[in-house]
Order: sequence, then C-alpha cells, then structure tokens
Amino acid sequence: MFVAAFKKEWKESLRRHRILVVIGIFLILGIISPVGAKLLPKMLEMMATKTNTQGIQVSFTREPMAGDAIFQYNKNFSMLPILIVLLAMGLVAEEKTRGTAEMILSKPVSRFSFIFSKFACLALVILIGAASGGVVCLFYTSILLGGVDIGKYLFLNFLLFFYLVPFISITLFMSVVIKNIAGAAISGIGFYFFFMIVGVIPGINRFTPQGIYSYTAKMVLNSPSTEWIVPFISSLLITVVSFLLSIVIFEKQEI
Amino acid sequence: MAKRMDAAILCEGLSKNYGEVKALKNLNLEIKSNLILGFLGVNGAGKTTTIKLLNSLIKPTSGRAFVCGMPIDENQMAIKSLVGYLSQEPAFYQWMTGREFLNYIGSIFGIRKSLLKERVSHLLEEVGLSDSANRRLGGYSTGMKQRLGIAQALINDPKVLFLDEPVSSLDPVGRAHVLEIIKSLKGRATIFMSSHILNDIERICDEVAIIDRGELVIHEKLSRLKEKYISPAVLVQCKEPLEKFKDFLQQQDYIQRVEFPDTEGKDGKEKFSLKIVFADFEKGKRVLPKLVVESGLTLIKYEMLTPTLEDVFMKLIDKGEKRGESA
Repeated sequence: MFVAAFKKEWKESLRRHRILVVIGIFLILGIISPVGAKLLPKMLEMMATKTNTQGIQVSFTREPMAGDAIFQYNKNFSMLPILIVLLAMGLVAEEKTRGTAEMILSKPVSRFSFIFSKFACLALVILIGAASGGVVCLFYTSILLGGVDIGKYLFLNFLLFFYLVPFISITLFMSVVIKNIAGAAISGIGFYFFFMIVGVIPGINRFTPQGIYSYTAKMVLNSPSTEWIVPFISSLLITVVSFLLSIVIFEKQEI
Repeated sequence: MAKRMDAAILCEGLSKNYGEVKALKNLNLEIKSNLILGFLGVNGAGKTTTIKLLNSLIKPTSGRAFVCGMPIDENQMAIKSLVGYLSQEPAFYQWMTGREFLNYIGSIFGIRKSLLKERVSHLLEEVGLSDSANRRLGGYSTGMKQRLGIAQALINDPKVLFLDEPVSSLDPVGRAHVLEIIKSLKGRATIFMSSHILNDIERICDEVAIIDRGELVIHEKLSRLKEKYISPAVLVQCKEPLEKFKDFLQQQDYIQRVEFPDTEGKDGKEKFSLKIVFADFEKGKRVLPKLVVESGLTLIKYEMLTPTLEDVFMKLIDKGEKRGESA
C-alpha cells in the first residue's frame, strides 16, 4: 500500500507545484552563485569608480575562481531548511485538520506507510531540486570560472542534501504532534534556529545538521578530511529518531 | 466463539471515555450478516464514536469488538480490506478529480488496474457522477461529495459497510437516490448506518438500534419494535369542538390516552381532531364509532394511524430522559 500512497504524494507534489517551486529555487541558487562570483567583483569596482569622489581605488587582488562560486552556492544553502519546513509543515497536520486522514486511514493503509510515503516523496522532491541546482551550478561555474573538481563537488552536494533531510523529518514530526499547520511551521523553524544557536557552542556543532554545513563550507576551500563523519551520522540519527517518533506517536493518535 | 464468527459486527462491553465524558457505555450489540441496521440517536448520542471505534480510528477504553469475525484490535488491515466506510463529513483532496480519487482508493485496496477502471466507471454511473468525474473535487457541491463518498465506500465491494449519516446533507432527490443505492446492497453486505432521520431508517432498515447518551436503549427488528412499542391509534375528526368528548374518553378503560394533534387549537381556536390511543384495540375499534354518534357529534374523518419509528424513538428517548432525571 506504500506504493499507492507514494504515488498519491508524488501526484500532489506535481499538482500543487511543489516540485516546480523546489526546482525553481535550487536553479536560481545554481545560477546566481557562479554568476555572482564572476560579476560581483567587477560590479563593485564599477560602482566604486562611479560614486568615488575622494580618489579611493577599489580593486580585487585576484580573478574570481570556481571555488568562489561553489563557496557561494554552499553559503546559499544555509537558509534552505526554512523552505523544507514550509513544504513539510502541513504534510500530516493538514490531512488531520481537513479529515482526509480519517478517510484514508479507514482503508487498508498502515500509519507507517501513510507517514513514510510523505517523508520519502518530499525527500525525493528535495533530491531532484538539489540535483538540478547542483548540475546548473556546475555548468555555469565551468563556463564562467573554469574547471571544478567533480569528485569533491559531488561529495559536497551529497553532504548538503543530508544537511536538509533532518529538517524534513523534524517538521514531519511536529506536523504529527501539533494539530495546526502554523504550529508545525513555527516549531520546525524553531529547530532550525536552535541548531544554529547550539552550533555556536564549541564541540556541539558537529552533533547537529549545522555541523555538515560548517564542514562543507571548510571543504570548498580546503582538502576533504574525515570531519564530516560525525555530523553526517548525527544528522542521520536525528532523521531516523524523529521519523520513528512520528510513527510511534501517530500510531497512538486518535483520528 | 461461534457467535463471533456468525456475526458481521459484534460489540462486547465496548466503552469509550474522553476524559470525564463517557461517550459510549458498555455497548453490547450483535448484527448478523447481510442486514441493514439503522443506528439511531440524537446528536452527541455516541453514534460516530461507535463507528470510529469499529473502524479502528479511535481506541476503546474497555471492551472488545469483532468485525467479520475478527477482533478489531488484532486484525485491523484484514478488516479494513473487507469494510467500506463513509464518515459524517467526507473529506477529499481538492486537487484530485472524482475519478482520480476513486482510482486512488481502489489502488489502496490493491484492485487490479483493468478491474478498477471498470468498477470506477460503474460506481460513478451508479452515484450519478459520470458527467463530473473529471472535474476537480474542489468544485464539487456537498451533495456531490456525499455521493462520491458512497462510491468510495463501495469500491472494494465490502462485506460490511459503515455509513455515518450518509444522507444528512443531501436534498430530497439526492437522499432518495442514495437510499436506493444502499437498499440495493441488501443481501450483499451488512450495512451499519447511523442517522437521525427516522424516515430514512424506516424506509430501508431491517433492524434498528437506538442509542441515547452513550447507552444502547434497544436493538430490535424494525417490525417487532413497532409492534412492541406502538399502541394502535385512530384519528377522529368531527364538525364540533372535541374538548368535552376528550374528557369523556379519558375515563374509558379501553383507552390508554387521548390527545389533540399538534396542529390543533392554534391561536386559541377550538379543537376538532383527536388522536386516540387504545389500551384494548378490539374493544375500542367496536365501541368508539358508536360513542361518537351517541355523543351527537358529526364524524368527518375516522383514520387508523400507522405507527412510525418516530413514535418509538421519541418514546424510548423520553424514557431515557426520565431515567436520567430520576437518577
């Protein structure tokens, strides 16, 4: 029954333009990062020359490189958990409020399939979006700023995807626990800021999804190391635990 | 054990509390296969709670229930694949079309594509939605949604069908249509239909269960219920006012009670009709017309009253209220 539920989720993502929105946002990030890295220094120089009346010169010591575009692309990912929260906030809460959950759960659909189909579909939508953005960013970076280390770039994108996945799971959990959509959204965003704040504390950062993000930022400029492993496992654990909690609580809930 | 296997639905001491509120109290109910049961009660009596319990949407506080011979707490998926359910206010995905929704529900039941296509078209035809099958559900009227709700409940050719107030939001034409559909399932499925529209229950149900404030008041065959609880009555209408004649009749031993119909005596006018309920029907039938003539009254109408379910319902609910007050 999971297949039927997943197909419905997929169709809904198409009809309600979730896929279009996600791909659009990732494409914008994929384009503006290399274009910005290439043109921003020139634009700043031009603006400084035009507006400068006191003879101050603005010049950049080196030409922008592929790493600058990728660094910018990585930086732009920092706000994407909010997009995830907005997409996931109503997944269960909306169905409970509207009564569709009652209709569907009276059929032979397990509550696990009901929740898992939502999680899997949104993860797929994000994956498609991230892949599109990644490909476009790679394409423009290669054209405008020269060659990119493909292996390193693929690994970076892989990690960035797992930076976002816990937010699907956490918001889904909040959508199960909290009855209204706004509540799920506020608490999902709350978790985002919580991870950001906690991430500032030395040693704690690597146990949060924020640790992945910090690692990828470093990785663009330096050689890869094994520092990604702990935050990656932590993110996976957060994902699995919040997902399992969603199932356990949802199983007990009265519809 | 045999009882559990024979019955399509069996409740044994089923109770449900919401905090301090006892929504359902110790429900014991057995419904044999292929019958249509009308589950009657006023709003808040516990009808929806019972249906939700039997569909495993909520959990009982105590007691057990069996559907299709299987305990609801152990065989949820197996039971769900054999039952159909229509909630009081069926909700749909607004972005889907009617056909898509039925296809989705059918796919949940694992119905083969070719068979599903045929069944969906047939059901859409049956509920009169063929023309709007490809319209988005967001644009469906309440009546159309209710009819689609019936169609989705029938998609798996259920052995037991739970219908929670299936016609309450329909216009008279839609209501008659849906009741016909339900009636046509007689003998093919056990139907558990809650309602507070007594005429509808009377039209199609074999058995009636009345629930009041979470307690089962009675469960009986409709015909037997009427026999048991309704005393035969006649309506007498004369040219002359009947106030004095009423007082006279009340003293007769073969008469249980005499009352003016609600329509009589409005705005202080005199009353020309009387409803007479007999304690001894045979004697009353023989004596009453003679009494009317001897009293010098001009008889315009003398009509045997057919007992209605409404009378039974009001009587039983009234009893329950009195019980509650005295307690």
